[in-house]
Amino acid sequence: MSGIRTWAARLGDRQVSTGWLVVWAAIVVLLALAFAMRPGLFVDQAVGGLVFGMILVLVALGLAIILGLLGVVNFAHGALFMLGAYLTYQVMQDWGLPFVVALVVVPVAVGLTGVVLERLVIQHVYEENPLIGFLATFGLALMLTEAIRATWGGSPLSVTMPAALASSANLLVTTVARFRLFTVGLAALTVLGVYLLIDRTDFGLSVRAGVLDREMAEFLGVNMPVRFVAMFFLGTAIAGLGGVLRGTEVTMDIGLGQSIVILAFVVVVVGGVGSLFGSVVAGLLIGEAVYLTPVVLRVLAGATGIGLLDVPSIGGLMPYLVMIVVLLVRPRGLFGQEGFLE
Amino acid sequence: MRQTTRRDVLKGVAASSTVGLAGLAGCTGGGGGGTETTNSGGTTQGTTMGKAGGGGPTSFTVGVFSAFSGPFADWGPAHKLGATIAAEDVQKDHDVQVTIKQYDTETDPSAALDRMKRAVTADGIDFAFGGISSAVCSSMGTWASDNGVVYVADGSSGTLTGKDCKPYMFRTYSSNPMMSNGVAPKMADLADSWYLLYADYVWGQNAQSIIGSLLKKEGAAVVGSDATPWPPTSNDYTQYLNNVANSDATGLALVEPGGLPAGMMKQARNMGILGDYKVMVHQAEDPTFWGVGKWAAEAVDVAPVGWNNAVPGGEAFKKEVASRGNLDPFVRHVTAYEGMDSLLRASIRAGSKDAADVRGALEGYEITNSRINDLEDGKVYWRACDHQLVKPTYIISGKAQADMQDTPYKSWFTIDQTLAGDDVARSCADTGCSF
Repeated sequence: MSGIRTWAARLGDRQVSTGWLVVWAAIVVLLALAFAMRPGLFVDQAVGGLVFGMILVLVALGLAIILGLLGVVNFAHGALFMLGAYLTYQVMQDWGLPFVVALVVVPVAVGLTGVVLERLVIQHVYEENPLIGFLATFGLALMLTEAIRATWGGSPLSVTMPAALASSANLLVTTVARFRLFTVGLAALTVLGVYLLIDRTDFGLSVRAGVLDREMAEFLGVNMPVRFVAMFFLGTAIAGLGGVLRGTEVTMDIGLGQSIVILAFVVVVVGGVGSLFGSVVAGLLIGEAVYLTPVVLRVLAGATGIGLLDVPSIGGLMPYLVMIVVLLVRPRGLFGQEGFLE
Repeated sequence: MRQTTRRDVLKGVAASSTVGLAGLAGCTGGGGGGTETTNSGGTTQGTTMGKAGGGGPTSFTVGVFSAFSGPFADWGPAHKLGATIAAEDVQKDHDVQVTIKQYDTETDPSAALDRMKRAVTADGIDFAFGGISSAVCSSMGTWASDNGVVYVADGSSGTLTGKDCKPYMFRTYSSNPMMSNGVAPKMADLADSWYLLYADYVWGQNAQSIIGSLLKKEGAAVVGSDATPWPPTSNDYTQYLNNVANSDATGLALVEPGGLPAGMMKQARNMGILGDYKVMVHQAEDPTFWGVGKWAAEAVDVAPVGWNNAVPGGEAFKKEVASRGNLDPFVRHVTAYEGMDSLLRASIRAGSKDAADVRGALEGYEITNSRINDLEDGKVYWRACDHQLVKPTYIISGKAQADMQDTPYKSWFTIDQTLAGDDVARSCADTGCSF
């Protein structure tokens, strides 16, 4: 992937400072210490962080497509994700259809909803200041959220997990819920599919050309509005897919979209706006940071006798701490493009 | 008199600007609050309690503060319905008119404070009831009390009737200490070692601290406890459940609000570990299980609650709620009824809306309203030293799925124990409350 090549080239050209070496060495030592002291918990959390990271990647992917290719800060992404979860409830619990039907139908339905929103509102803000797009989609998010509440109520809901995915899988070193492994697999396939579509097809090439110079692309006969609609459909359909998977795994409530979309934004920013590969790396990095940091601190607290170091809820802060550190070192994010949205 | 004067000044100075700001913000109804319901009419019956019609107040405006949007949005209509039924009952007994105004606090203390300020200074409410989450209640209650407005809170943190108590703030919900005192012995009977997951804000911190120390007194060990972010950041609790799975615990205490316990139980079930633990859900509220599934309710081995629709009696109230409400009867309907009833009848008894007079009519008062006595399985009274409504605390557990009732209303739990309020409430000296 071009992202990896670029990153490797940069690393090759750069002198790594002593300070950074010390930081990295300290992180490695702390992780090794945590592993040595609590091997079972460490492995559980490391695998858990990987899985959580891939879930974040899936949610962030649609956001990254719409932001990276269309330049729209789509705050309605979380509401569309939540719509996917509630439609899953509708399909499986109210209509009694199997999970596989929801897996196919719901992303398409959410994608079509996204197309309607794009045609009615968002297409008018493509050329505007990103702040206007943000405000427009924020309004859409509020409307969608209230529509969901009016339709399905505000109390927590849950769907029955498909029997084949309801148990846990033994990975020798730990056990993981089968459904989470299924989510990881599907997320990886989705990332691969999106990469191939954008990087290896004529359609993707024309979209990228239009992003760089829309006027010239249209002058050459490329129908950009249709391509933008298609990309918006793709981005929102992936949000719907994320909603199906998360809605099946966890209980859903009206806060589901808001909480996850903020993390997805963090993933996109840390990875670098416009870089799908960056979103993947950032998702995994944040997933591991969320899961492993509390373990490391707990072990440190035990080893030093300083109880204040044991802060289990620091996992919730880690995405933002990671974002702060990354942006201080690389203001464009890990793989961000120079000049994009600057 | 001091507070009344200050309040009048506030009204005069702030009313116009507040109305203007509220209008500017588009908050004149619905989500922002200010939705009005007038319960007028009613015949005068049995006026032995009050001075209404004899020089006392004949009309009331009461603010119902609750979550009408956000994750707890279903709680708002439940609060409002309970309060409305209470107002209707008071109007049947006394020749008064009650206007209810609803205000959306979400679960945001600062938003709630804004609504309270507007309700008092612009809308002129006489009393206030409600609040989902103790942080919201504390925020509103402090300001209301400082400005001479009697407020009955519906949060359960011990601090509301403890170190953060206020002269004109009361509380209907059973407190964390009451519920914890009630449940700890049962928890110790069920498992020797417990892991506590608790929401990282005042209510969760308060409850886990009390439960932890009580478990130790009862001879059980707390082998671990984790604070989980509040508000939730991802609905994903695997990292905390991994901690539980890697501990020696045989009991899992979920000191989490709203739907979080059921969500955590679902994830634990997915991981294949739910059956390994005895499960305690602190302050389990029925609707958080209704949408998740009967399996989740069945998995609850023990839970302390302020009320549950399995409490015998009160069938007329339960059926009325089931027929009129968005949700089947649960604790918030009852606390709203108790709060509204107490405020109105105290004012009628006092013959005044003045905060000091209403406070005086509430402190030490034992409720004799037949409907409340029918709903609660024991003595109910307002304690003077901390303004707690002392009433029974119930210890419940999930029924077997085959035994769960769905009509005329859902009832998925069973009452295992009813504890008199005086037996579980902390002593006045232990509250830390000083007016």
